[in-house]
Amino acid sequence: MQFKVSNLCAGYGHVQVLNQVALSMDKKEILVILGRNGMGKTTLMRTIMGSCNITAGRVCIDDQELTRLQSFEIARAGIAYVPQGRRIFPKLTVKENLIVGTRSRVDGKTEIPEEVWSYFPILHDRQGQLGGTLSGGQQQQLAIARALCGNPRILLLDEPSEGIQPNLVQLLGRILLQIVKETDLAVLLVEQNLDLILQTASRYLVMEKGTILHAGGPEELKDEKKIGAFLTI
Amino acid sequence: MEGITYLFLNAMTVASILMVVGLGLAIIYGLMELINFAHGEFVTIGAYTLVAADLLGGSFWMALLCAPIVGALFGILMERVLIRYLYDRPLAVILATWGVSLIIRQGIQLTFGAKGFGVSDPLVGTMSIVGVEYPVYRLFLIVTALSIMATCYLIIRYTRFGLDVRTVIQDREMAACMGINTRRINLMAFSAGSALAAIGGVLIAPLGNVLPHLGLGYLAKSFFVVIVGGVGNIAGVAAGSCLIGGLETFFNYHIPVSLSQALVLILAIVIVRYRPQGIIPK
Ligand SMILES: Nc1ncnc2c1ncn2[C@@H]1O[C@H](COP(=O)(O)OP(=O)(O)O)[C@@H](O)[C@H]1O
Ligand SMILES: [Mg+2]
Repeated sequence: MQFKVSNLCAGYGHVQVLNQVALSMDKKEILVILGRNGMGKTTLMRTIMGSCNITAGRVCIDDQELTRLQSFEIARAGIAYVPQGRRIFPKLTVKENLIVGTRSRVDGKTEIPEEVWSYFPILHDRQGQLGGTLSGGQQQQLAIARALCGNPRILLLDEPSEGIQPNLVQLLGRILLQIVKETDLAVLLVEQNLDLILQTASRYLVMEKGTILHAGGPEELKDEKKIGAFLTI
Repeated sequence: MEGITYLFLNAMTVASILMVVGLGLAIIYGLMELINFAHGEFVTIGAYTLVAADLLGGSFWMALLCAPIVGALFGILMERVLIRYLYDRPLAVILATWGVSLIIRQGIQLTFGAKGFGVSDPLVGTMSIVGVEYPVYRLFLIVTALSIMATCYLIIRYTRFGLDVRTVIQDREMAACMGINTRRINLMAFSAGSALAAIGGVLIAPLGNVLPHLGLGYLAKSFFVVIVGGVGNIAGVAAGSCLIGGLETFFNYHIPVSLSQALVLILAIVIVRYRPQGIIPK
């Protein structure tokens, strides 16, 4: 499996935010996107999910073209999205949130996969509770679990560490590593938390003003100062 | 005491109709955040389904079965050829649906004429209930409306379609990102809302004269039911219709109809002023 974004230009209405963005991912990769606030990272994810206006470029999984499909078709093609701010459905129970996560499955199954419960046991204990009553960290777990329920090939994660406690951030990192080890999932991770980046990243890209400026691999990831600099400049 | 019981039962009759029609409006408004100004005309369409059945020698029961189908088909037609192009233009929706309401009203007048039709009572006679004799048909109407509400609640609460609807209401963009075909949900909800209005139309037809502008008054009333009760939940619709229906019946009893409607309107505005989320918030 290869996920490929090429030459992508997109934005909101007539305002262009993304300018010629290109990236590609193989299975089991965790590709991190670095960049300060307002650089277009969230817009990139929303564009991949079909929520923004694409003016040029393409999004593909292998030979399957996803550009300009509707969001629900993109989800059914195997891309799952954990948005910034989590956006779980507060008035649905934990279990209902997860069932909604299965809507993207092509086999039509609505059972919640066993692995999802095992990655996030706390959700199992709280499955009858309304999503909105969970703590921030639990909501983040729910958002990730919900995305996994669709059995995706690609997971888009937008700042999952935002607003949650350090020990939980570490747990999230461990779960992510475990998932890519056990499945063929590829993860596109937007993150500002240096610890989580260093813990999980296979490669990184740096985004600035809607375009990719730098890229780095395992070697560069050993240089903590360099990565940190991308987050603060 | 007897007077109060009658008043209560009359209020329940009015509230029952408002409930069914209001629920239709609430589903469309809650899901798509658009107001269908032709919603009242779907009530008229339902009533004229009964008139047509009557003219063709069919029965009330046949019309009661056919009306939701006719209403749903008109709803689908309207969504497909008009509304779906206007989802991100709420102002255009108001004008367009207003236009549709004029077209439907005139269309009905051209087909059936401007004079009213009286439809015979499908259930004649009275029944004694809590110490008074009350028309059987009106009791049937109340029970039917309550069953429709209960059915809708069960569908929304326990079915796959219901879960999808609740999800889309909460966050349309994320619902789509989960793999829910939100446009299909829109279409289904629009046709369901129209079908409910049409059922309301069949139910009221035997109570009075059926005229082309029958539905007109129901648009404003069901709109108030929805905002007074609280947008986005069935309990809110039930509470809103009991309040509006109750007030209207009570006032009608003591003062002229037009004045009582104005009073109900003023009270509705006062309630919304102090409880902007409605009696039963989302
Ligand atoms: N819904 C929107 N409508 C218009 N402009 C937006 C919207 N969301 C974000 N933007 C603009 O797009 C740019 C990139 O924002 P965003 O993608 O959220 O950045 P990041 O996720 O990197 O912080 C910003 O200039 C922002 O103001
Ligand atoms: Mg962002």
